[in-house]
Amino acid sequence: MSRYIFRRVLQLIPVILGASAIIFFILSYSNQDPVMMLLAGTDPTLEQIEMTRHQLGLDRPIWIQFFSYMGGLVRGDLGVSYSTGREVFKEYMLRFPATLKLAFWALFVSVLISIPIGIVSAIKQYSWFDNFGMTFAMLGVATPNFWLGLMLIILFSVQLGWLPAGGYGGLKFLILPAITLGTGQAGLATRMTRSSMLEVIRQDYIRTARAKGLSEKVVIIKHALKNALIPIVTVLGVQFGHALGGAMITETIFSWPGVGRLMIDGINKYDRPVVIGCVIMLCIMVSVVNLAVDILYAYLDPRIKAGYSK
Amino acid sequence: MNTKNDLILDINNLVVHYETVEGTVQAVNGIDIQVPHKHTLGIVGETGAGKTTTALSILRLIPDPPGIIKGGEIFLEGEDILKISEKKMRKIRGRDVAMIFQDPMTSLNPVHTVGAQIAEVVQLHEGLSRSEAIKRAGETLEMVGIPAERSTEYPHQFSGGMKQRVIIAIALACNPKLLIADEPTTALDVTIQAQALELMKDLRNRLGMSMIMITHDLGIVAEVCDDVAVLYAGRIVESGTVREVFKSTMHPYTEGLFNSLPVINDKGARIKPIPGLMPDPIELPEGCAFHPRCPYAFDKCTKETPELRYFGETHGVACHAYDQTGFKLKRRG
Repeated sequence: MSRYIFRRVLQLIPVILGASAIIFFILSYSNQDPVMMLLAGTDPTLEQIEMTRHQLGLDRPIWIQFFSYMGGLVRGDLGVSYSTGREVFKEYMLRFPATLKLAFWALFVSVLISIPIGIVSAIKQYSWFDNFGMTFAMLGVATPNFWLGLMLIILFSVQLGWLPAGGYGGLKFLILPAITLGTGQAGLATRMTRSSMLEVIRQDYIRTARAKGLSEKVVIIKHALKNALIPIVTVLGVQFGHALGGAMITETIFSWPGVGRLMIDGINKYDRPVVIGCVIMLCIMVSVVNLAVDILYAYLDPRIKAGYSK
Repeated sequence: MNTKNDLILDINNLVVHYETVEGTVQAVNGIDIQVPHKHTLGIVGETGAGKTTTALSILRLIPDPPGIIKGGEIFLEGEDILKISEKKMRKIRGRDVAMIFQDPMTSLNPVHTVGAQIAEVVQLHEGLSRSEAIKRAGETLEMVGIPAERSTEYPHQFSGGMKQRVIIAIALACNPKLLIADEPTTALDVTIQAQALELMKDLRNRLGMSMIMITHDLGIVAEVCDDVAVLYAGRIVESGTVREVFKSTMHPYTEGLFNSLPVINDKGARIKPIPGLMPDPIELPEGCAFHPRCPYAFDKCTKETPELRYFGETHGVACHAYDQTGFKLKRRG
């Protein structure tokens, strides 16, 4: 098992380097010039422009820039922000706790909604509850986060005045963003829970469990759900990983000071090191969560655990 | 004939249908079954004859929807289990009536240890503590010939034959009064089949259980059962003691089953299969469901469904041919 984890961590290295290279070249060849953006509104002379370009190292050939950046990356250095002059990694870590908090609570909301609705929908397939659950799931998937977020703000902040429309602080600042992000995630997770449960409750071992005289609750929770969890955990894991990389839309709507907004600011200012840094961190987050999910599989299914130790 | 008190199980006129979009599947159409204490009844029939449906009805585990028990009575030690609450029924399942399912590969939960799967039943029905239940699980495993240490292993670490032993252990963990075995050996190798069968026979005798053995293997019936009921299209066409049904076969379908067996002494003999196929249970033929395949069929068979009539105390046959005096099957030999 630990060998498996070690191997997987090693596999992360080429993934991260590859993703960094791709994003580096995409941004380098975009026709936005960070120098012009930086000097915008100052009516710079040609010398000033060249000077800034030299300071940022952008006058060097692209390959040199690339190797210099990658050299920094392997040492854990994500470069310096063009616009603020601060280290990208420090900037990122400053924002990360807010994102982690939002991602966690969104996951909590998603689990709280999707698993019960998915289970009941599966048990009572084609009932009115199932129709309701699946309509909800479809709406959850189809509703854009920005719209849902705005509607929640209009209702709970503007009309009712119960919750703040944005900002960062205690639990009450967290509720609306977590619901916005979590409901979107719950749509897919609900459908996944339902279909996975539907498959499991038709298995022979569920009949065996019933033939033992177990109550329906025990049959469903103990015997069915544990078998159905793998696809559900997979979906929740991917969603959690993405949220950790920064929920850009939700964070922007609610002025949540997380890494998603850092990235959006970086994009708006053509702040290349910030954008690349955020994408690399997103890539790392998704990979780490995937690894965590794969390890979790081993605890859910002994057959997978046996496969890992081979 | 047995008096009511001797019977562990008494099924009267059981009718079970599956109502699907394509139509109503008439799985069981009025079955009567009596099982005396410490007796073993074999239920024989082709796939789709209604054997498993009958068995699941006894546990009230027919998947609903689409399955519905349309009518009849199932008395378990004198109590009609079709009338009791689900809660009471749960106390019967696993404690009084246990079932062994067909496919050992899929009948065990892959994510729980075999020990836990056995312990669960005893904990539930006998009110044992967790640790006592685990100890009992180990003993039950030993009883079916698996070392108790293996109780912490998962089903995927066991072979097919071993898994079937575990399933037998789960079924017998609470010393049930009635054990229903639904084709318990079909999914196993022939050598393992013999072992599993021997084990079940031995445990049945030791624990003094009654048993219903569902199978399409006449050899198993001869080996294990006292009585036998032959099912065709959801009806009993012939029933009696094993000796009666095997030695003086009376129903054309039963005759067909025996004729489809290879004869060990006569290697040149050709197997004579029953012509045609089982009828579609959504559209059963009128009259006797077997008449399109029956070499003895005449007019009446296409119109009226034959009732079970008794020849002697226990030997019942549902066939119009016996209206004709002196009718005899042509069975070989």
